[in-house]
Amino acid sequence: MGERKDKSGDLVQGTLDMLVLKALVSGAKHGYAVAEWIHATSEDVLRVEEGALYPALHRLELKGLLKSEWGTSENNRRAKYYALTAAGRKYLAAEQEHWGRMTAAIARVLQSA
Amino acid sequence: MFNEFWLRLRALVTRRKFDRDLEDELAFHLAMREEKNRASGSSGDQAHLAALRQFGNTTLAREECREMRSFALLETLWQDLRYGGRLLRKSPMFTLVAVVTLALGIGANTAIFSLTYQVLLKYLPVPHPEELVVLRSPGPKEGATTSDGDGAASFSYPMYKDLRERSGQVFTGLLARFAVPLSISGQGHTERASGELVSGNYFEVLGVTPELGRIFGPEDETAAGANPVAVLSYGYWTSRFGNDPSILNKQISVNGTPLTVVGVSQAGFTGVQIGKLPDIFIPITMKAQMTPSWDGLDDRRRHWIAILGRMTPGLNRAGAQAELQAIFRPILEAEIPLEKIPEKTKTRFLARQLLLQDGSHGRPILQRDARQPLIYLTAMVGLILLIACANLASLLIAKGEARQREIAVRLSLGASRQRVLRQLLTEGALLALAGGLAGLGIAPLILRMILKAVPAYAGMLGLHADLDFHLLVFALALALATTVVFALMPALRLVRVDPQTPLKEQGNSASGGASAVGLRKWLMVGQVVLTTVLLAGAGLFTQSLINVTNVDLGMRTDHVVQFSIAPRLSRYSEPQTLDLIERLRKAIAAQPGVQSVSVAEIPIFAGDSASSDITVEGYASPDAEKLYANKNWVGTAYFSTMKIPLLAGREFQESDRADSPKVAIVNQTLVRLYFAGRDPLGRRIVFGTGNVHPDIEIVGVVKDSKHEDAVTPIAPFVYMPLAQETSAAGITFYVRTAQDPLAVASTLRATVAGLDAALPVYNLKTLNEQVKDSAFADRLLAFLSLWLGLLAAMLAALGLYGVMAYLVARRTREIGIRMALGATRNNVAWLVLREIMRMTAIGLVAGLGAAVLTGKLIESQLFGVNGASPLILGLTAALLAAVALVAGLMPARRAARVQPMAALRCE
Repeated sequence: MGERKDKSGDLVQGTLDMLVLKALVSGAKHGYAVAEWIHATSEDVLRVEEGALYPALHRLELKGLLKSEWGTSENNRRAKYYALTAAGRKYLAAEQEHWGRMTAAIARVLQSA
Repeated sequence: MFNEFWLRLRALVTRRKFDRDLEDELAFHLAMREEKNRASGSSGDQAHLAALRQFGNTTLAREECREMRSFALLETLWQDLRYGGRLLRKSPMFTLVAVVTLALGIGANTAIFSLTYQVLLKYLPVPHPEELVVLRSPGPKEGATTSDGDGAASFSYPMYKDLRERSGQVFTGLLARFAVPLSISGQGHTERASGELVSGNYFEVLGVTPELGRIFGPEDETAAGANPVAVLSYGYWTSRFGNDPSILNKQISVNGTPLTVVGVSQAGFTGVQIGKLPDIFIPITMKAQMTPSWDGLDDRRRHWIAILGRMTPGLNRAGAQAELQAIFRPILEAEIPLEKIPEKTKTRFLARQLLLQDGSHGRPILQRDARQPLIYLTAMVGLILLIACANLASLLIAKGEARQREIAVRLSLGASRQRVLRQLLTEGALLALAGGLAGLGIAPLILRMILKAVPAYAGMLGLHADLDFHLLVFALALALATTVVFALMPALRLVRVDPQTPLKEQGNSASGGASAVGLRKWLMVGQVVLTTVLLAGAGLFTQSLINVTNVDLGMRTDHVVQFSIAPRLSRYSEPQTLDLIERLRKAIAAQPGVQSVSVAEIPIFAGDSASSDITVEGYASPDAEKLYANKNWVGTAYFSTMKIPLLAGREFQESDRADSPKVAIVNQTLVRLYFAGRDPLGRRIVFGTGNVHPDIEIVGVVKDSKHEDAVTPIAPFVYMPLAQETSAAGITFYVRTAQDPLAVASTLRATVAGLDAALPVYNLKTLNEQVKDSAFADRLLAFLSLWLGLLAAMLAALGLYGVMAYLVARRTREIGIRMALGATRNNVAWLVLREIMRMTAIGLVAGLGAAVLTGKLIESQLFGVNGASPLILGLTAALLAAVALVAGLMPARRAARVQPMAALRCE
């Protein structure tokens, strides 16, 4: 159903793409692994809504930031693996830099008297 | 970009595979999650359900992924179209009403747009039309002016040549043209044609190329009478010569002068004035041969030529205009010695400026007259379409009520709101497109009807009623725009509903129903407002037409048939022309059924007039302004033939000849203005002012009568005998008959042919028809506005009926309860009627207010009607109230027939 749960663990609009790309820096992963990686790396703070993850993966692939390949998973199942493209790496670097500046700026504003 | 396109294309081709892969991908995810859940201790089922819950909306995710490969948009569009088509087929009555309403609305709009496009918006079909300008010079001018719609745009030929020589900085070229009626003979018959006398550079300045042979060059404008050549227009080449290329270098006889055809102009080029279709182009130096009744080629006091220029690229109009004044002033100064200009007007004469008018649409003559009526028509058809949209929106809201559960189910099953919205809009667009296509079918019919009502002399030739690319685009754009207007709001209302509510409700009364009723009522009120405005406008135009028709013309126009000839264009000299007229007059008078015959040089009720300064013996105007009078030259027995009462003196007689003393007959207005109570008989007048000697004796006074048309106010008027001054370019005969004038009309051509078989006869019709034609604009506006008003009233009735019927159906239970509690059938019927009357009353109040405002706006187009005429407003209100009452009767009766027990049980 279209209902949304409590917003507190939800991701800021647009950051999901960045996290997905980041998750793939260390190597190709399937969707489930991406979700788990984000979950684990953020120490359970960030919760990817899984329903939104796959549209994001497909969108990034369409944009040429990711490429995909069918492979076999750890437990011997057919799974679709996503990997970063060169464009994806460049995009991530730019986004990361932008994000850093934004958060630093916001932090400065919040710390000011 | 290419990558994306490739992936999408692949997805389209391998859609099955893509769907399966997506399915696999999601299934893999869910399986992994389930496994993890189980590892952390959940039981099988629970682990599975938890995995699903954690994932969220799988359908939505799937749809999103699919749509992303976005030929999916096309695919879902196709799905939506099929689904929409099925729905529309399932309710044929609704579909029919919707499509017909939209077709009428879009058809009317497209037809009027076509007219507006052709008359107002279309550029001259020449390269860089935006560089073209029309030269004007308003202000005092000495001598005689012949104008074709705009007197300030008439120049003498010598002045044109001066300007052409000196303005090379400002213009890359300056062309001259003058429109003339001609007689062209060849292949055994003579026919009237419209000619254009042009400067040698005419085609070159415009950028028009020859279709055949050559166009004119400077060598075709050498000396008076020395350039006997002609270029045919493409249209004339087709209609008269069947596109025969062998016409090239052959001679044709124009006004009896042999001209060699040297070329045919580019297809599609129809001169420099929208609404005119020149048949033949002739060098301007042939002026004397083409207008045998006057020459004036080298006369600086004869103003007749229209000048158009092509500005040097990069110059704008203001800049060009500023530069021109320095060139214009010396030309004016050089002309001063030629004129007998009083000191007082000299400064005004020299202060005259040379103005540049936008020429990208050619000479803006038709545009000037047609702009207002076209704006009114556009507004009227626009209102009709709005009314149709309001009606449809109301219908769609009602239909939407019934579909709330369907939509809720779709939303619950994971369809995104956007997706459902798109589906609903697609259905709307489907209706609109069907309506748009049907409208495209209707538009040419409406247009043909309008064009048929326009008489030939109205200067609206060359307009076509065919569909073209512009119209297609316009109609489709309009259809899509209407979709947004009528379908978006109902659709938004539907998808905004929380899907849970309608699903939980078991009854047939959906939530939001009350507000839907309210919305529909407001839509109806809006419709009543617009309809009031349209009906009131229709009433005003109709009243105006009635007034125009009932104007006292000062003569009897029934039982008169008219026709025109132009002997001077067939090599008749002045005396020969007079002789021919006399013989023709006698021949016609001898025919059975003819009571009397007379002639006039300027045809009446054809929009034509001739005006001159006049000097009246023994009278000077108090404010030293020049006196003026309109004039016409008429034959013997003119006033008795037209039944214009003679108040004093005598009519013209056969004894008023070229060699007898000059005489004139004047109208009452002239006597009142320039004789103020004195007896005018025996006094003398003369045309012109200054050093002139009044030598025309007034021998009669006639009652005032109309001349150009029914509405132009009566001017001081001087009639002179045709025999005493025959410039006589054209002569119009008026034949009064005892019986049906059409019976005589059929013999008139033969009578003329009996005297000269090669003399073209034109304008053959009854005088009543001519009078009717002179009011064609009023007629057209009244006719169209009346139809549109009635259509609007019909739509309003349909809409009101729809809302009330729906309301009654919804309130069946309430009505049942009321009746069970003792309400009578009359009470219940009244309940319904009161509601509809209330809506109508609110709409009427607002509508009448708006109608008064719009009435004031169109007042300038009305004749003898106040824009806020209480009679018209009252009639409008009464008509709408009656319409509303009729629309309410059926639902009221249905409400009164409700069986209380059945109504209560049906829940």
